[in-house]
Amino acid sequence: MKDDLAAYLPLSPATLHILLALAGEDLHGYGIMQEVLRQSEGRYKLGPGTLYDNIQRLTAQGLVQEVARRADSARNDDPRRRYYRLTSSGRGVLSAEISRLETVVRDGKLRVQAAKPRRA
Amino acid sequence: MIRWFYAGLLRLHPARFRERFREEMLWIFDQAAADGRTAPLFADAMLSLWRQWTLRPEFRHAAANPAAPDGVPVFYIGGSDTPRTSALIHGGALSLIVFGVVCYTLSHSNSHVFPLVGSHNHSFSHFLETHSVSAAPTELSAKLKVKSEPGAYKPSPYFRMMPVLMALDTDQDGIISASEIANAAAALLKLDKNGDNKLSAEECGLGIPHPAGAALVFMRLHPVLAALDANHDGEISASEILNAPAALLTLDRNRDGQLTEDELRPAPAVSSRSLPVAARSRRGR
Repeated sequence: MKDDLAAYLPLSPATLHILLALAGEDLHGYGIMQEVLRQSEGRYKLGPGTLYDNIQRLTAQGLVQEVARRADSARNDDPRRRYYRLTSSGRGVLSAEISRLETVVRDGKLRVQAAKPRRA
Repeated sequence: MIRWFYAGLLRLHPARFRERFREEMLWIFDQAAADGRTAPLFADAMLSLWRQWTLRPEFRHAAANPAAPDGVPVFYIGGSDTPRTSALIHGGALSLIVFGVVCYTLSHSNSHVFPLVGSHNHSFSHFLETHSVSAAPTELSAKLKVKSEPGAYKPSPYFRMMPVLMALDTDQDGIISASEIANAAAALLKLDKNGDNKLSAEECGLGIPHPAGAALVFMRLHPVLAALDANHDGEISASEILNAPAALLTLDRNRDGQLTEDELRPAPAVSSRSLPVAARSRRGR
């Protein structure tokens, strides 16, 4: 299973942000863009073309799936909206990527500390 | 206008991507337009256009992936390859317009190019143009004259106005043929109501009453009467009736041995001014 997930890694920044946005709740496309903007504190702006290119690929890989609209928003929802949900495979890939990033960060910290010039 | 342009960019995307995401992307555009931030979306759409056509060939023809939201199977129906009904209607209307323009241009063109395919005679109904005639016209000189159905031909107003022409055109086909020209004397004598062996202007169709001098004008106005009334005295005498075949042949401008209406009608400049006078005088009879 781990080998299967490893085939998707490393994730591109756009893919990582999309999976992170969907990790909390089901979102429509515009909601994903807003969530990515919030996560990155306004530094990463995802365009619709990039977003739906990734959605197309992620749904084909089975990491994200389209779902029926949420019951609480069905009444006033725009019919053009589609909601997307992280699948269990997608959650596994996201977890694997986060673990990889944690390793990268930990290793990076060690290397940076090791490279610090010692005080005379 | 801006939205229309953005929608146009989306329409240029591959069909599968467009069918699946176009409406959502337009909705996002509407949201961004409400905030006045549409410029980045155009750059994004251009990049997406390039990416979908160059880097994503596997998605262009891939089968749709059926999703199963909440455990309920969802079947995705791909777009049909057949053209939309509206596209067929537009195409049909456009074809009719083009066909009409081509037909109008051909029928009103001053520089006639006569196509020749499949027959010797020039015809607009043929499509291919030819400038060389393989067979000499003399080799294809056979003509078939089909007699019109009784009552099918309606004489033109000019023929109806001229008893002389109606008498000469015995087969009522609108053409004074060679045989009718040869028998012109006998045909003209049928108009001799008073039996004096000559035809007055009234017997030739001049209406009664008419002003003085109208007979001479009438006899000179119409080419057929002017030709028959050789001495221009306002009536066709017995000798002029006998000489009618020769007199009529002087009107045969194209020398085909017969007289058609264009050879019998007065010149347009004259007829436009004088014909109503004759017509009025005839109505007043």
